[in-house]
Amino acid sequence: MMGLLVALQFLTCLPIPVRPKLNADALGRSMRWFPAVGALIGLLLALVDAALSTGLTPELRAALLVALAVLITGALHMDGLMDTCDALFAPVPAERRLEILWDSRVGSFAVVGAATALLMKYAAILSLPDPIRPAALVAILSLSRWSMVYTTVRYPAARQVGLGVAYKVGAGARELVIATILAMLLVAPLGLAGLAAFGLAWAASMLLARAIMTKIPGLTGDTYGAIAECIEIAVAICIPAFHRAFSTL
Amino acid sequence: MSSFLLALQILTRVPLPARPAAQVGDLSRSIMWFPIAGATIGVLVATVDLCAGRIFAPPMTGAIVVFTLVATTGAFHLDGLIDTVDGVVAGPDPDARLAAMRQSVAGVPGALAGCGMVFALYVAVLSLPSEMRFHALFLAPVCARTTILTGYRLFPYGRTEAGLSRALKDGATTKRAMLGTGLAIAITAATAAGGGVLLLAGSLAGAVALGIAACVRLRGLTGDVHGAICEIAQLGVLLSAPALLGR
Repeated sequence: MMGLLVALQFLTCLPIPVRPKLNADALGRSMRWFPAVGALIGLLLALVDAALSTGLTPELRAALLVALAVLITGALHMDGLMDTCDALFAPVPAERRLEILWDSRVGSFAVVGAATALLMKYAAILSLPDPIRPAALVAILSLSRWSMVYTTVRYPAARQVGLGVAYKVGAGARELVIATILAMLLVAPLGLAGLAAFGLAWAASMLLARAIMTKIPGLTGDTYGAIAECIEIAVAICIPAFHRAFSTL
Repeated sequence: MSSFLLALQILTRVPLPARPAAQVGDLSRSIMWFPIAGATIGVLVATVDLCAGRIFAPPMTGAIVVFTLVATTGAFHLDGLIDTVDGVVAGPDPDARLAAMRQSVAGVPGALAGCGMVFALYVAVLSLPSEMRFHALFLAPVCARTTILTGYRLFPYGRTEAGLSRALKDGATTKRAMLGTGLAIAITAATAAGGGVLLLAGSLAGAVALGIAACVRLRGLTGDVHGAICEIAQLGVLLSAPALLGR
């Protein structure tokens, strides 16, 4: 259970009563809980969404949920997405890309990436049909956090130091298996649509990781965050379509 | 044909078969084909809209269209817009402003412009009535890329060093500008008759006004500025299409 607290502490800004001791091993082992933390964030969003459903227009609710998700995570993954956009898309020679990834300053491609990602999230959340909104929010956030576990365990790290490496060193097949089982359970309320969403998250994580690795030699903490954001968006976009497809079967 | 492919290669991230490194002369010639490259982007974007509209709700389809517009160009022109805005508000003189445009770090004005453009594009796409969506989404990239061609012909180049923009500036001869613009007129007229040509004329007039304003601040235009004008023209077409098309 300590692992869940470690994961909560890292992935969210939620106040945690105890401060667990952190080392690479504890960080890595906490990855098995990532989907559960995602589900918790999803649940929080779903509660706020339900509480506001009578008072606010759907557009306002969707915008608020997007903002709330960024707040709860302390923009952790959004930061990763922005740095990754600068590193991958700026017109520079290949050897400069890692350097840009570690540069904390924001370039044009980070701005465009963040603006487009926020827009896609807003539109996707707005388009979630009412009956499945809570289950969909839980599934979206769980799968997005699962994708970080999958890509961390499965693909090589680009650097020798840093938080990303601590996770890479401490997490193994055991973490991936547990996280995968958790993720499958957490998407189960959506039925076959949930299973399809899991398949999408898996395939998209694989494609994204491979695409990133054509530009830089391995993955880093920033790119895990970028992958999590992309999976969140992809799953959110497709869940209504999956839901419709499988409910007419 | 090869200079058309080169125009596509410059303006989009559409994967094309690897070719031998382009000569400066080829780069120069490619500028005539920018309107046709715009038409290629337009067909892609309008088709994505058509397909996405069958699967997703309208707000989602709008966001997917904006994403497609940004992704097919690899945010090439948006990058230009952000750098241009950061540049024109900086410094006491044109040299300082041109230097500020070179900075790869985005400033607050540029970041706001970038976010504002993405947001405005979304609202513009959402507001397109269904009967003219395909035409508007097809024409917007055509008109926008034509402003790059005419802009390079009409305005002095702001920098001295060699590069893509220098080659394009040298390639933008009167003959090529007239041929390219003629192609654009033919495309817009064939697509939406008078309304289409009006959209193109409006884009070109707006681009000239923006170009003059940029010249005052910068002494001449750069590739970034042409990209910025292209983005603004594209937004302008999408915003005015409901009023001008389908009459």
